[in-house]
Amino acid sequence: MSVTARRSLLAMLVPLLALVVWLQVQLDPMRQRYQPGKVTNIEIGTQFVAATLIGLKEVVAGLLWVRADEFFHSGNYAAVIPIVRIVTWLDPHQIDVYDTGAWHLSYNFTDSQERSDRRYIPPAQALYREGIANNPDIYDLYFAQGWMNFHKVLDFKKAIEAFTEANKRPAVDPSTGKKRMRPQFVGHTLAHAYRKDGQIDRAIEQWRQNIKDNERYVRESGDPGEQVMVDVARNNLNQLLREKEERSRLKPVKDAKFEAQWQFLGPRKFRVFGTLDLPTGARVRLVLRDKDFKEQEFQKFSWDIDTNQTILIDDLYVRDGRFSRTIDIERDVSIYPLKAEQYVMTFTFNPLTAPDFVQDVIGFKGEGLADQKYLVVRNGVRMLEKSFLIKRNQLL
Amino acid sequence: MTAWVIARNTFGEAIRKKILNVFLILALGSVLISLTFTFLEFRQQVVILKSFGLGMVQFWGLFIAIIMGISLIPADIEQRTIYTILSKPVKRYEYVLGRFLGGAITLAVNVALMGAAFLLVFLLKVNTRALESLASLDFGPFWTSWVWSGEVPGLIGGIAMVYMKLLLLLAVAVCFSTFATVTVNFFLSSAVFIAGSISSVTEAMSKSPNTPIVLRWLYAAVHYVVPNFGNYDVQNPIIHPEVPAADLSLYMWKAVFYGLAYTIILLVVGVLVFERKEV
Repeated sequence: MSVTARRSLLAMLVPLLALVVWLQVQLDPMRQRYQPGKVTNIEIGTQFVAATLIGLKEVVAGLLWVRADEFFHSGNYAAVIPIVRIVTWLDPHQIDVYDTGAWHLSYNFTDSQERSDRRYIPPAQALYREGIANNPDIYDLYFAQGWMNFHKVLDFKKAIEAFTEANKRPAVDPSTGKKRMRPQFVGHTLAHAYRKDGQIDRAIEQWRQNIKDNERYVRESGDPGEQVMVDVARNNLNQLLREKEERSRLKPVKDAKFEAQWQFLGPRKFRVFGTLDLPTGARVRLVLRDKDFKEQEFQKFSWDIDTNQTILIDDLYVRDGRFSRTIDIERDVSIYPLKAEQYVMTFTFNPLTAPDFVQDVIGFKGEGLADQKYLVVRNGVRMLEKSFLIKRNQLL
Repeated sequence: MTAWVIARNTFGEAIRKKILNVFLILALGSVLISLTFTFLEFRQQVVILKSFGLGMVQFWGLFIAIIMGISLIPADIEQRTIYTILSKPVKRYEYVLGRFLGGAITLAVNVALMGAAFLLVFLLKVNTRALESLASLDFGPFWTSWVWSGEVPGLIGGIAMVYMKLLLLLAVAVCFSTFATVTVNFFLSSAVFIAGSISSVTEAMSKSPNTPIVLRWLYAAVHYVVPNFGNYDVQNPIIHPEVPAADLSLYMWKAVFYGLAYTIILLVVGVLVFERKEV
């Protein structure tokens, strides 16, 4: 090669290097949008760290999630949550991982009598919030969060908030990756949530909207099988209108003769019992908690709960006007540490959570409910409530 | 023209190499494995299949690129065939260019085969329902329910990005192979690949106020001067098409230009070094 050619090549390197540096400066701010996952000092195997560093983050996330499934089916629940954390860090768009993780936290850590550990509800809420913040444009996690509040927490106002957001957003077809109309059950569940919250007129309005949306869905999807959802919406609307009409005539005459007691049976073992003169199938909610119990607040997702707290929630089935259950938490010291000096035990009958046939007697919000001793009216709902203040040594 | 003859020759040699074929078979097997994750929810299965498929194309492609790249020139020197080649009217730059082009074609064929297998597996997965209708030998529902997924162009884009990453790695290996032995080249190329893959770390460290100023310069130098393989990690928006990814095409084009410019730099350096090498 001649000296001139060599010099020319060397001279060519300078603008080329300038070009790559310029392109890199252009690429850097854009790249962060497409590489959302982060690798931090989390405890994963070095082979995984190496894989994430060379651009195989999503592969690691997928494989870890497969591993989590194995842990779940072998009953090693405690191992699943850290994996949820790692997977959602590596790939914050794995919506099923957020959903499964939050469901796992709120339902699957149970005591020996199958009551879930309520201290994990705030972490589950935080996980949903994080998932929604990372995936705000599709309905999925809003709906999942709403469902937890609707079904597990029984906080219908929060459920309505989340379902409303879900009902504004599309779904994504996993086969084609294209956005499509959200499933019809989203609007239906929103209507159910309004009804559960006692907002009957809003529920009726939502069912009417659901009929229109479902009809449009049938037209646009071209799937006549979806017609069933239109029929369900019509049926539910008619039933709700009928119930509203019938229950509007209810007067507070039904004396529930509510009474509740508890009896010490041994250390960490007690019986709760009482009367409620309502149809068999009604339920009384029992809550035993630290006197100064305050739900933990999590700004960011963490499963580091306050293990000194005690909160026990159970629903007591009413049969022939009576309810009774033995609560045995002797083997569940880690869930119910009983470290506080004083506890509040509350028995509540809330018409909002009562089944339909009970609401037929007392109304949506307890309009037909009366009780000589324990009737309280809270946010327009007539409910029954009795509480005990208990000292620690009374339980141990 | 001479370079093209050498390139064709290189491609012919490469496809006869057993080790590269073994990697290709392993890659195809790995892609097929992702079909077995049927115990997860369907949507999750599709997500894992996409991430696993793109990941495996990249993973096995790295082996192919590096093993092929480090041996393209040293093999001729060790076997002394270089004397025969250079004694003919072949210029040294033509030889280096031809070797690289042959490697690039081999890489393209391998990535295309792996990518095609991955896309086929993907289409089979998203058409599970259509395939089920085949079991009853009923072809009517098969054709009506078969979906040509709208994600395929995105996935092809993802495979193209993997190819660009591997091409850049091949250029690094070819550049080093003009002066280093195979073993030394393996470690050198791997080190450059790792340093260039942690671009998110080097970028963050070069801007962190907690990093001493000298180290900040060092990280900035690594970030801007070392070939940045992290530029091609755009799997996330491809795996999750529901998430808006503004200007992704523009980004990908810029990354392609970056890769081509850097490849030219590496080849020029390789040619300059090889011109002075005593063989």
